[in-house]
Amino acid sequence: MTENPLIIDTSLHWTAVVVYVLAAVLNTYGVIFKKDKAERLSYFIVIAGLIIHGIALIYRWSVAGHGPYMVRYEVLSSNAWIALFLFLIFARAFPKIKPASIVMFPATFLLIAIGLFFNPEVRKLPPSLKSIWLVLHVIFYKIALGTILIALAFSVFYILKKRTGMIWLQRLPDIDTLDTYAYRFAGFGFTFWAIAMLAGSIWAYQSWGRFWAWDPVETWSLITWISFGIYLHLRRFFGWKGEKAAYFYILCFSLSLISIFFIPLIESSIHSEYFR
Amino acid sequence: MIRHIKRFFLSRKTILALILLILGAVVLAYIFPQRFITAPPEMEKWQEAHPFWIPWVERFGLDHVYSTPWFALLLCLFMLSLSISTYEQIRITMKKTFGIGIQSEGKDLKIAAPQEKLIAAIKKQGYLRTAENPDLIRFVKHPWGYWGNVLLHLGILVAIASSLVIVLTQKRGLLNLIEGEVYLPGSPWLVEENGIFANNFILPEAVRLDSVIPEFWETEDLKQLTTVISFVDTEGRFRRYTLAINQTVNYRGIRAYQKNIFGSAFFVEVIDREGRKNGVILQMQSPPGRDKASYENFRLEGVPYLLKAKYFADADKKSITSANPLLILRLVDKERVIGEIPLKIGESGQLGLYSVKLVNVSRWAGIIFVDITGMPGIFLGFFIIILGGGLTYFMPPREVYLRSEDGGFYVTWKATRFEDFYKEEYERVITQIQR
Repeated sequence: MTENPLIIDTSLHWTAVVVYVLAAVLNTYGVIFKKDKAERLSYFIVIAGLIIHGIALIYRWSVAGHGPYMVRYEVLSSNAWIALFLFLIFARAFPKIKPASIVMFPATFLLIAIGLFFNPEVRKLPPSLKSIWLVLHVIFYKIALGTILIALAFSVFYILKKRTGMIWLQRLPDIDTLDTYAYRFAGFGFTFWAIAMLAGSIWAYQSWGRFWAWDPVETWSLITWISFGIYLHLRRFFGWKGEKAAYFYILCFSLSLISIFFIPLIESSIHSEYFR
Repeated sequence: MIRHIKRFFLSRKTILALILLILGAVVLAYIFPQRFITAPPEMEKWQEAHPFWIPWVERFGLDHVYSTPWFALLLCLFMLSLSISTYEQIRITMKKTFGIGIQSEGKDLKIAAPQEKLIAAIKKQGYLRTAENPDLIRFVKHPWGYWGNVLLHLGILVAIASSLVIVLTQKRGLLNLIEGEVYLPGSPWLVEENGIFANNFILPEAVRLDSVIPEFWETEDLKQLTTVISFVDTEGRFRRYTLAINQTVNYRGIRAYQKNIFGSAFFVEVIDREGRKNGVILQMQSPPGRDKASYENFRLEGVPYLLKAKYFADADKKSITSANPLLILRLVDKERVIGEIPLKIGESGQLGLYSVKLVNVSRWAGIIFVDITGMPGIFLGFFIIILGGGLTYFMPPREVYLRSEDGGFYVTWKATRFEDFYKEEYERVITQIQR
């Protein structure tokens, strides 16, 4: 049996990917062709995947000696886990959102698969990253990402349902409910994003005596947050809803992807230093 | 007049315009290089490449957007708007919490039962009797949930106000000190950054760096950087403190931070052909590994050539914490190499036209000193936002109205948020009432 932790770690991740793919195929079949049994089974399989995936993350945590927030591979993997976990929780509380699984299940295994193509080597924690505020900063960003992903699914479903006549879309809640859910989850995302930014600024103050350094990732994070604020403001006070709001939300979501995933790759920043 | 101003600041268009202007300012600061985060040579390069924008940059301070008066004004206006809006929300929420309110749409059910029995049944489900008039009694479960939105706005307001205070009044200074070196109050900083309303940053006492202790992981990544510093008062008394990354020191209102940069300072003696002796200190960052070098270029006074330096932590490349580093100096005239020499401590030799000797090596480290007011406000804003978010999303108020009409009672129920989620609770209330 191998003693190389990296091989064990990546093998566990690949196993989770295979299980998720199986769940996604079954789920898509169940949702589109209205096969309840297949859909139900897909949830059991995806929970099994979540457990394997969770074990992989805990194993890596114990080997690396720090949480999954240092290298892109572990960041993407943990983002995927939290997004799916949140989706399952919300789906239990609000069964109407269940058809969003058709986006969430594939998004989960795609995030892990993308992560597996980056260097999975374990990196030791630099001293400036040893802080509870950093842990809170990362956790809240992950929760924010999970909620804005769900809001994205509803915005996309809204547009699809309005524009196309696909039969499986009829299984989704009515068009007004989709719109309201998109709004509510965006509100969640906005709040958690704010908390994540503030936790980050407290961490920065603790480490460098500067609560905000205007580095590119911080700046883009603020731009994204302000954009979500504009989205909520337009909906609340200007009565924006429906397709117009859904397209604007997709724009805001694209900004969040730029700030979380692309800016650390192309710009020099304290955030990118350990992401590369 | 006041009503007019209030209406202006509460207008949805004003708020949207202010948010868009702040967003625009942040984007501008991203596009134009900012002085406080851009190295001077890079700044010069940008200016040479974009001469058209220089008058605009100078007129509107586009190279220091966040410390311009117009950005501070923008933030003040936004804060004013947010303050008035928060005040208005407090007023409305007070009414919601303690007023009888208007019985709005909800699930309406006629029940024939004595009033006392109905009240007891509703209360048993955790509903509080908040208001009443002769015809109507209002019960609310989690009435504090009305305050979630107020707290969210208040938290953002407190965080922005505190940020503004910090930006306007902060004082920051960076020093790269060599072991044994003393920095006197009032001397120039390596980098100084002060808010618009802040005076020059002067430390209350002199500071001496006593020692630098780096620790490494087995992967040679930095594990911890610790320094020992002493504050020295005018009578020569020392107060010694240990600093480390994430372990700060508070002294007479000033907070000192350990920066994560450090390295070796090479004391080199340079003698020219006329026999003139010149001592120089070459401060270089620690190399990334035992077999990897650190590089730096220097311009020395009286020397018309570029001095390129390369340094290995260990001359034998076996240890990252060795006391036997290797310094390699190269003198360059444009592209042409005039001379090159490797030096260990105590060694000397010829570097082009100059005779050089590596006299000694000491460690240096970067230390940040900060005088900031307003940080507790950021913490407070953080907790208020969390509280607001928690109340908004996890404790939405549920209302029950008990209306007497035609000799009977009508029960109306509604949740202010996530009604579908609390449907079962409504059914429980009704079951309890009908029992």
